[in-house]
Formats: sequence, C-alpha cells, structure tokens
Amino acid sequence: MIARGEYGLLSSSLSSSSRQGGMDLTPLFFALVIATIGVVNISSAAQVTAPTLYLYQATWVAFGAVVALVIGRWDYRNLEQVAYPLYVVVLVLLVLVLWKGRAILGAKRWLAVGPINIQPSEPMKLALILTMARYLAAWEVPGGYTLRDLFRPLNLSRPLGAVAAIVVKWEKIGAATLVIPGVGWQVSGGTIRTLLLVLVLAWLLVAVFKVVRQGFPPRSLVAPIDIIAVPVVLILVQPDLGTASINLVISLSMVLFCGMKPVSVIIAAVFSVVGSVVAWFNVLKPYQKKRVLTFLDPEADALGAGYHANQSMIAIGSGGTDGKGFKAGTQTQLSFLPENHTDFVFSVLGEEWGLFGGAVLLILFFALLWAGISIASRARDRFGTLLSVGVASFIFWHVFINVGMVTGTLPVVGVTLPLMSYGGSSVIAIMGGIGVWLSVSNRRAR
Amino acid sequence: MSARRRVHVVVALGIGGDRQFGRVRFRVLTAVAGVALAFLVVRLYVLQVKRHQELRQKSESNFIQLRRVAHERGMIRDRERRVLAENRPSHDVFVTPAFLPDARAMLARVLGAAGVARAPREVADAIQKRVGEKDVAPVVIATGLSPSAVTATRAALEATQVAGLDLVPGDNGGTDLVAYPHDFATAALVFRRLEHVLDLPEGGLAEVRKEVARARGLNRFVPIMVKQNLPWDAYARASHAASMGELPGADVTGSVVRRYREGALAAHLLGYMNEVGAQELGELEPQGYLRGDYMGRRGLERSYERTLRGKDGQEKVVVDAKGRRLNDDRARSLLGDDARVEATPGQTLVLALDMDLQRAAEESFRGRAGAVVAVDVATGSILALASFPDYDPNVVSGRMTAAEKRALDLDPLQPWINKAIQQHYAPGSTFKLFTALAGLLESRIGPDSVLPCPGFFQLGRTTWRCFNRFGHGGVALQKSIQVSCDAYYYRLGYNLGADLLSQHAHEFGLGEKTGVPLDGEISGLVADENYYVTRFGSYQGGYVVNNAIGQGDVVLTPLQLAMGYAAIVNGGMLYEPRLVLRTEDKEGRVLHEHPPRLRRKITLPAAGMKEVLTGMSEVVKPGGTAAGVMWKDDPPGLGLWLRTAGVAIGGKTGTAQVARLSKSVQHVEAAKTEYLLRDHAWFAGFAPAEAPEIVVVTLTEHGGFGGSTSAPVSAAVMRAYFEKKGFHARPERDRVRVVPQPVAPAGAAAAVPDAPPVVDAED
Repeated sequence: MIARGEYGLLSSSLSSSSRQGGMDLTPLFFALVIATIGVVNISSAAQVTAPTLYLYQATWVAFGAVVALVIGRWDYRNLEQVAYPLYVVVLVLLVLVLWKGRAILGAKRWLAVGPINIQPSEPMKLALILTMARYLAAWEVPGGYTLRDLFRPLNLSRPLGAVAAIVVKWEKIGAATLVIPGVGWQVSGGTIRTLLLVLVLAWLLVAVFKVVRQGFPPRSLVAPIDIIAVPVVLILVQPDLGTASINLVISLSMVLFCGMKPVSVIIAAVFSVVGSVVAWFNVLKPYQKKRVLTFLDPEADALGAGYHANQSMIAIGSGGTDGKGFKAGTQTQLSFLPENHTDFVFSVLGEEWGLFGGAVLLILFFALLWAGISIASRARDRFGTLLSVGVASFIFWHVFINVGMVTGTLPVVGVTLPLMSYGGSSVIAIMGGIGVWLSVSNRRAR
Repeated sequence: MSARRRVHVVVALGIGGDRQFGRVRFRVLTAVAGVALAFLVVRLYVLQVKRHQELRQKSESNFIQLRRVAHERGMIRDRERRVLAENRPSHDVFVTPAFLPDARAMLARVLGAAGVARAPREVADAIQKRVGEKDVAPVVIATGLSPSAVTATRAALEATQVAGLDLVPGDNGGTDLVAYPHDFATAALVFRRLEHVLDLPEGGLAEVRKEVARARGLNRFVPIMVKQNLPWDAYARASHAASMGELPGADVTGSVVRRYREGALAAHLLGYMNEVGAQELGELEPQGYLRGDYMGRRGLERSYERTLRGKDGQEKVVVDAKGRRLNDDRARSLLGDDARVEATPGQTLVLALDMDLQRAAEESFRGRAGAVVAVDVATGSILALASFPDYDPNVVSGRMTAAEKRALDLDPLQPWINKAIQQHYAPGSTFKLFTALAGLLESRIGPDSVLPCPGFFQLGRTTWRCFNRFGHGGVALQKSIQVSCDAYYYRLGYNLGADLLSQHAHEFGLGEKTGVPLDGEISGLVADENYYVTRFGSYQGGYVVNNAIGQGDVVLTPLQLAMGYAAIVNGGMLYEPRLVLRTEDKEGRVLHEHPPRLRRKITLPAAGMKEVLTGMSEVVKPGGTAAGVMWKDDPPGLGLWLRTAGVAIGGKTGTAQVARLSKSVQHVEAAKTEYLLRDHAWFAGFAPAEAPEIVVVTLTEHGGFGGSTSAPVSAAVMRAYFEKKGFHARPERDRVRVVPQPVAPAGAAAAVPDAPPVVDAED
C-alpha cells in the first residue's frame, strides 16, 4: 500500500509554511541506506584493484545527499522551464558525438569538452524525463493515447528522418540487402533506395495537399514519439544498445503511465515483435547479436562473449543462501568477476552476502521506489507526478536491467546499479532524481 | 494548447495528485515494480539455492588449479646394483620472445612522457649504433626538459623499469634525457649477455635469435630453448645475471632428464625415451601422460614403462583470473587439508645384466655390426646383450639435431635395430648340434654311428659338397662336430626330413620367439614340410639337406641360439630370457622378485650327449675350427689367459653365407670381398666345458669366418665372467708348457686352425 498520510515516513524540518506539508525524506533515507551498503560493498569489490575506492564513493554519496537536499528545497516547477532547452542542448551534444566523438573500442560515445570527457547519452536520460514530463503533463487525451496520437503519421519529422537516413547512408543502403525472414524474400539495396524515395515523394504530395487544405499547424512539426525516437536512434548508432534501451524504456514507461488505448498497446506489441525480427536480420551488428545469443545461453561461450554473464552467475550462485562472507568472495577477490565495482557490483553482493543480501537490497530498492511513487501520487500537479514517475522509472529500469543482466536473465549491456555501482556521475544523477522527489513532496497537494 | 491551460486551471484550483491520475494507477505502478523485483528475487533463489552446488563447484574450479607434482622415474641398475639409467637435474636456459625487452615500445612510452617528438625507431638506432665503442659517452636524447616533462618522464621510467635511460642535469641548467648504450635493454643486449655467460662466441645464438624473430601471436609466449644442461660454472653465471635483472626475458630453469650413465653401453637393451607425440596424447592422457612428457620407446624403457613410470602427485593451488598463483593465508584456508598428494616414484629395475661382461662384449667386438648374447645357463638370465653398431641413448633421448638423426636413420648398418632379437640370420654350422640331437632322439644315428664323407652328398643328380672336398672319410658324431663335417649332416638331415628336424629345433626354442620382454622380437624360421608345400606346392626330400647344416630355410636370432645352447648344456632346461632380477623401491627395498621362468624341459638323448659336448670342446682345441682363440695371440693375451687360468671352453663356429659366389672361386680372403657380400660369422660357446655355467653367442655380420672374428669375442666375455669368479692366469712357473700339436691335415681348410674356409664350406 502506498503511504497516503499527510506526511510520509519522515518529514523534514526544512519545510516552511509557504510550502505545504514539508519535505518527505523517506526516499532519501532509503537511498542513503542503499548507498551505505554500496560503499561497504565497493570496499570489498575493489579491495584488490583500488583499496581506497570506497572512500571516493562515500564522498560522492555525501555530496549527492547535499545535492538532493538542495534540489529538494528548490521549486521543481523551475525544471519545467529548463526541460526543453536542456533537451535541445543534449541532443546537439549527441549529434556532435557522432561527428566529433572519441571512439573507444569501436563506439563513439564520448565527447571531449576541454579537459573532461562527457557521455551525452547519460544526461539524455534526465533531459528525456524532464521533457516527457513537461510534454505529457500538458497533453492529456481522455481514455489514453493512441498510436496515431503518438506517431502523427503525417508530421514532418518522418520524411526529414527518411531523407537524412538516405543522405547519410546512401552508399550503405545501396550495398545492403534486406532479408525478410520466414518467407525468404530478399530486397536489394537499390530497390530499398527507390522505395524510400517513392515513399518520401508520396508523403510530400499528401502533406502538401493537406497543408493546402488545412493550413500548417505547428504541432505537425514534431510527433510525440520523435522526442523519444531521435535521441534513442542517435545513441543506438554510436552504438550503445544499453543506454539506448534505457532511454527508450524510461520514456515509454512514462507514456504508458499516462495511459494508452488497449488496442494501441496490442498493435504496438505486434509491431515491436515484427520489428525486432527484422532488426535481428538487418540492423543488429554481429557483436550485438552475439550478446543476445549469449544471453540466451551464457554457458555456450563461457570464455568469450559469455564470460561476463557466466562468471557473474557463478559468483552469485556460489554465494548460496548466506554468502561467502564479507571480502571472502573468491570470484570477486581473485578477479574472475569483471567490472566488479561498476556494472557487476551486485554479483559481489550476491557472492559475499548470498540470497539474504541480494533479497534485502532488492527489498530496499522496492521501498525506495514505493516512497517515490507515493510522492508521485501526492504531487500537486501533473508535471510533478510525471516527473516523479520518470525518476522512479529511471531507478527501476536501472535496477531491473542491471540485476537481470548479472543474474543471466537479460543480455549484458552496460547499465549501472543505482547507488551501488561506483561512479560519481551515476551517484549524482540518482541523488538528483531523489532531490526531485523531495522537491515534489515539498510542494505536494493538501 | 487546451490541455496545458487545463493543467494550470487545475493547479489554480488546488486540485492535484490523485484526482488527476486515479489512485489505482499508482497501485498498479507499485505492483509492477514489486512483481518485477520479486521476479529477480526468484531468479536469485534459483541461482543461489537450486543451482548452488553446481555453481559453487564451478567457482572452485575457477580458482583451484591442479598442478602436477612430477614423479621420479625408476632407475635401471645392473645385477650388482650399479647404475645404468638414472634421473639427473638439468639446468636449462630459455627465452620467451614476448618478455624480451622491446626497446621501441619502451622508448615510445618514455619519449611520449617527456614530450619529445622523435621517432622511437630513430632513437633506438642511434643508441644501437654506439654499442661496441669503447668509453661510450651517454647518448643525449633530449635536452632542456620542462619540470612537468621531467616528472612525467621519471614516472614513465619507473613504470617501464627500463634500464639504461636516465635524467641528468644538462649544461644550461635544464634536465637532459640520456641513454647509456651498453645498459640500454634491448633483445640484442640480452643475447649479447647470454653469449657471454654461456661462453659462446659472439653471434653464437644467431639461430635462437632467428627463432625468436619468427615467433608470432601466442607463440611469443612459448619459451625457446637456448641451451640445455648447462655446466655448473655457466649455470652459476647465468642464474646470477638473471637474479640481477640483467637478462629480462630469459629464464634459467631446472628440469630432470634421463641420463644413461654409461653412454652407449647396453644401449639396445636399455632403449631410450622421447617426448609423447601430439597424436598419441589423446590415448595416453587417461594414463596420466601430459604434453611434454617422455615415455620409453625402445628396449627396457619401453617394455617396463609401466613399472619404471611412477604416478604423478597433485597439488591444489589457488590462482586468480590471470592464472597467477596465490600463496597467502586466504589461499591456504580455501584449499583445506588435502592440498597435496605426493607423487609415487617409479620402481627401480635390477637387471640380470653384468656391466663388466657387457663392457667386455662391447670392447672386444671385432666387427662393424652384429650381436653378442651371454646367458647364465642355470637360470636363463641375460648377463650381456649387445648389438652393433649402437647409439648413445643420452643423445637420442634428448633433443637430437636433424643431422644426428639422419645419420642414424641412413646408416646402412642399421644402428636402430637390436640385432640380438630384431634380426635373424642363417645359423650356419652352429645349427648342426640340433640336427645331431634330433638324429639321436629319433635314433637315426647312435653316438658311434659312422657315416661316410666322400666330400659330397649326392641325391639324384644334385650334389652337395662338404667344405672339405677330399672328404673326411668315415665320420662319427664327435668328430663330425669337431671338424664340422657337412656331408655327415647332409645325410642325417635327409634321413630325418624337414618335419622332424623342424620339430626338434622348435623344442629348443628355435624358429619361435623366446619371450624376451623387449619390443620387436622376431621369430626366425626353421622350415617344416608344410612351409615348402605352401611355398612351392610340394615337398621334396632334398629341401631339408641345406637346412641340416644351418643354411637354406633356417634363420635364427642370436638370442634364440643362445637360449637353445643353454638348454643343451644345462640338461634340457629351456628358459625364458630373464632380463630383470627384481624391482626395488627408491630406497633399495625389494618390491618384486622376477624368478627364472622355465619354458619347457627338453628330453635330451640318453646316449650321445657326451660325444656332442666333447666334440664342441674339441672345436677350440688344435684341429678344431676355433682353435685360434686359444692358440693365436689375437687379441693379445686372451688365448694365454684361457689356457693358463684353467677355464676350458667349448663351442661351435658357424659361417652363414650371404652371397653365393661362383663355384670356381675356391678361396677368397674375407678382406678382399666387398663388405656386404662377406659371410656372417657365428660363434656359440660355453664354459667351463666340463660343467657349463655360461653360454656366449657372438654374431658378426659380414665377419667372414666365425673362428677368428666371433670366437674371441665370446671368449673375452667368458674371461670377464671367470675373472670375476676368481680365476686368474697362473704365474709363469706354474704353467704347463703346451706346445700346439701339429695338426694332421684332415683337410686343406681345417689344416690351419683359423684359416678361412673354402667358399663351399658348410654350404
């Protein structure tokens, strides 16, 4: 049950009379409990490679808590004004990354800005949450959105995207062959090019006809789905499947929270299945396919692509019910577990603290999410609710994908575990999200 | 923008939260999150409870590595426990290409840190050029480095541990980066130092350097042998240099190698070992063989492989993901108590072989190729077993060069073959004894039966000549042996027929394997009627005539002949050749006795044995075919020793014809015949004549005449045997002066004791 009182578990004295109710510090409390476990866990995980790393993490957590409180005191409605400009700026950075980014291991994800490297796909998550919250808050459709509402088939972004793709990938498309699985059809690159051009021309004709008849409404420019699709595609081509998926599922969660017509959900589901089959044969790069295949059977390639997942499952499984004890995990301490203080930090916990430790952590995450959703439910306005839901979905998907990946349930993609994985920017991002919750709770409805 | 306006209205009215999104929606949201996280908990339960055992084992096999504790192979000793084969530590030097200093890579890193824009290759060449000059001044790589560059360079120097580069104060107050050419670590420097410590000339390791340069990919991590079995001083220098860090990429390691202490002595009997091949490994792995293991390939090393080979032990060690061994308290606590299972050493073989007899056989051998076998007649123990030419098993077991191997492979005298068991020869006259015994047993002759020798034996239109073409006259059994009359045996053999002759020869173990525990023994042949029926379609009485004198279709191995002779002189006990007396453990405690094994008891003829043995004793006496061994001073001293020590020997010579020469040629000096066309020379002897203890059979391939080439070898082995038993040549004054009797010219060939026989002899 959602805590529904006037006050949450903890109420802050920071609240003033002008802000109704005062701050609900429950999420910050749970966040700090989780982060403390995280620091202790990192002290074991990085014992061999970087014995003092946990101190840095502790510092980041402390700093993050301050950030959360500062944001909490701030009026979240300011964020509504920030949302679109921030989104545009990050989008520009994403384009820049493709153009001028630093390639590391074949993927262009980093942008050198003076002395520091930034990875625009990470702030994009926050920018998307803000933008979606603002957009969806202002856009209500009784009975839920339909696919038609979301896609607006005739808006301008579709032909623009198609033209952009054709221009950029002209050569590649020409060389490619589209395979339609099952029926054994093959469509040559030249045919695809022709088809695309015909489609663009057809669209132009229809659009011109429509504009002549109805005028040019500004919302024809951008469909709601484009807010999500453009950054996701930009991240996908870096390539970074993990972050692209995270951005996608966070945004879609927010859309689904607002509600969609059941028929549209079913149609969307059918299309995504068909789409993923076509993507499998045509879009995914071999290493991505390998990851997915490995996820389906990690032990098939235990020394190659399945190494991470396999070692992680061994770590967790060998922990048993009670775990091997703090700093006594052999997988962790003997370096069999890769990335053990970042992406695979949960495996360390599972190995050393067993089912007990893992379950407690997941329960704490649930408590955190519950507290956040509770705040969302009591928000003063639609924007506040959606913002809180966005943060909750941000945390939820990180937890679900990360733990799913280290337990061999989901493919291995680079997704951190909130407040547990080492990393300043990750901690600050989550704590910023918690701060948003605090801010929403600070100004909640009576 | 009506929606947006409505939101503002709603906010203005103070209505929010639940009233905008139904309460159910938040409950659903919470429930979805709860179910998803519960699903993860279930997944954890599956991994940590259901699959715990399996995954815990996997985690253990991750970090616990089983390392082998190598066993020690059993030694091989002679009957007096003197060491023939042992295991000795060997100190070897290896280089691993991947770990040799890579000058360019190190320079690239240091130059990068110093911010010097010079190509590493060019700098390396500049340094290299100065090597070899005397009093080399440091090569200045860069001058006037900035303080930050100095800090970065120092860090890089420390991180790379590169020798021969240094930062020194420069002329104008700045800091210079300099290189000392003679210390700058390059692969070339390492090899120069190796050549120095190993006492090799400059460029002596060129071959190894080429091999290093050829290594690619993972092969760069495979150590390449530089030198095996270092002498102690080189080992001391090399390990010192290595411990001082002067030889990066080179390792001085110890291993155990099989060592045959006496070199080529008894090489064919001992055999040799070499590395297990990649294709055998699949089959041998279940038996505990690993890549790089050696196994016995020939001789005792092969046939007693299971006895000599011990069992490897096992040690559990904790390793990390990079395979590095950890040996701290945590590692020990992870291992528990049974971390080490000791190896079981192999058993030591104590042979019947007597090193002194073996050495006597090998040192006195007078041909280029052949075999010597000495048997203790009472037990069938092999006291000596030699084959010529031989090879050094130390060389063969180690890393033989291609040239060494080719030389052995292509040698026409076939050094690989153990001629005592792996090659058969026509026994010549040595076989006549078995014909005689068959005749006695089948009552075709009595001890005193006299058969005529007109100098030939005629059957229909075919004539077989006795080597004495004037004929021996009437010959009885004893004389037939003493003078080796062919006609006597032609007649007797014809009388017996192929089946009876073959049957009795097989009784003595001829024409069949002796069962000696060595690889590759062949059976030889004593043809029976069936053989001819198979070969020619029918049997003719004349086929057996040649066989009766040990020519034709009779071929034997020297070992068969020795075992057969032993059975004649010991009263009919045919033993299996006994090579191993017992096996012992490392401390010399007896593990298993290997008692003599009797193959069968042969019934010897009741009458006639005395004549047979006396006839053989007469062979070395004046008038016998091997009289020269006693009376000719060749080798010096042997005949005198035998005459004066009181050791009477008996025996039989044999000459096996290799090529049939034209009948018109009557007398051919062995030395004048092409080597490969000369006859094989046999001598099968025993001693003491009155109560035989030892049989020594000598075969000299292409030795010409047995009495002069083979008999002295057998006699020398016997001398060694009796010397050990305390026999010695009597002082001059005690000697009975024996003057050789002028021999009655019974025949032209036999007149001179060691005269080469007439070509037809014993044909």
